[in-house]
Amino acid sequence: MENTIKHLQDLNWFIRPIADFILFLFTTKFGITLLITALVIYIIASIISAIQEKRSGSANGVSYSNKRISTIEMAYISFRVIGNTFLNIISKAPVLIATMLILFMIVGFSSAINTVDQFITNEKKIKELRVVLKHLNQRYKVAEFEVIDQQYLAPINNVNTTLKFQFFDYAETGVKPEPQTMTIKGNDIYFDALVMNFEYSEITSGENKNLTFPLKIFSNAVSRQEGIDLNFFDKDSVPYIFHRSEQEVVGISSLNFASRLKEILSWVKDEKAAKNAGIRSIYGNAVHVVVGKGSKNTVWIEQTGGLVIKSSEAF
Amino acid sequence: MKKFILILLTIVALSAGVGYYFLKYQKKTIQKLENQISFLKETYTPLKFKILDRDSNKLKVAVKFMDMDSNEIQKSDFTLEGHELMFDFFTIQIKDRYLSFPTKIFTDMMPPQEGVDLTQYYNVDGFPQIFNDKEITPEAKVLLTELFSKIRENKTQDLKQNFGNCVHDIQKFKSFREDYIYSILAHTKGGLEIIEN
Repeated sequence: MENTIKHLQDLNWFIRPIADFILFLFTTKFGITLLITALVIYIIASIISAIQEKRSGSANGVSYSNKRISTIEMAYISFRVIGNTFLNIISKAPVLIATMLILFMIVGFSSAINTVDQFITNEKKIKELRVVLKHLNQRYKVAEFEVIDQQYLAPINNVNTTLKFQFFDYAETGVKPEPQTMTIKGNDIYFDALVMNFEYSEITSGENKNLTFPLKIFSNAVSRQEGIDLNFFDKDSVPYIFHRSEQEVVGISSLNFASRLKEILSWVKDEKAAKNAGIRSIYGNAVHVVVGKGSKNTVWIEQTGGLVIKSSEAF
Repeated sequence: MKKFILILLTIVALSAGVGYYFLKYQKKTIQKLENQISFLKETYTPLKFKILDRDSNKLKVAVKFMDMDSNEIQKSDFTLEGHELMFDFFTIQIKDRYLSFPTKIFTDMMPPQEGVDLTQYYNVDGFPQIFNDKEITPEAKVLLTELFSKIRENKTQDLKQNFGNCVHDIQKFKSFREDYIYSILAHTKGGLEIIEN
């Protein structure tokens, strides 16, 4: 099957330009104008030739030398040539129709090869996207955070919390080495993320799945607008948690995995592409918990249910 | 002196006893609720909303609270300063299900503690009406009422496996559109979702 497709693609390498040219001539305004112009030039050339023949007197084997031709005679010659041209066209209609049919068969054949090619490319793309989503849709830890300090200030209920975030990178050792430390006013800590929800999509085969990208931290006392951004993305703007090792990614090359991953991430900003991919909703989701000094919490992405935050001891 | 120590010890013992009883009672409540949550659907819609008006720094939104049979409980309009609308929920894990109670509405420009309390809008005689369902048992109703009272009084510290869950739009990516109806779906297997109707 693959060999047949390959042969067809090779064949299309020279059929396609011909098909494109035929389509250009018969379906574009410019092409049709070119055809009409060619016909008009042919008719004019035929008229001039007929007039020249008449002038040189070579017509009908009788020799005249530079005979003057009246306007009426010129008009007659012109009409005769035009008439003959159209009669010629009509008399050769079966040949012309056959030629046209052959031309459009070439177009149809090329178009069919393109469709099959496009179908196979799309199938491959969908398969790759499915593999990428399958790898991203497992239940996994996003981050662990620990309260390393908490200071109560006057007035009552005014508290500063210092947190240490440890992110996970599943392409490396499982834990991203550099933790992020921050101090924020308040003690109810909101872990904010963007969620893309797939449903009834060709890619997810009708399963309800989410992709989540952590964004920032805010608290009961700090608005989201004034929250602290999480250093969660690598230099290519890919979240660390979406990194996968080559051994782990089965069914797709690591290069294709990275490229498809970027394609999925681009849907966040491209509503049309997101809709085409079957994404039903894009929204923010912040899970939060009241913390005390020394407490440890883990943020998990559930396979089907978005973000969940739990005390680390609970695991 | 001996008398004083004896009184002190009695007070300590009594407090410990009351505390122990209280914790045991709470555990029992949760356990009972675990056996009563079969009425919960996989997904329910506690609220729907519509942005009525939006200017540079203000949002006007209509929020409709719904029970599990999709009956309207109450509708209310809110005008808030901000660009992004945020709905906060209290989520508690009971057995393998999550129950989510809407608690606050606020915006990206408001610290959550300044948000508007939402519990009053679906509080019907102490029962969280969003969980009202044809199949709910009277026992589950009582237990949910107890749980709801703790949430309203902010006495949730002793409840295990609970967390806050807030959903919102993000102006940078996609804002809620004016005059479109949005539903917040609560998935009992975890997570909240906003969908456009």
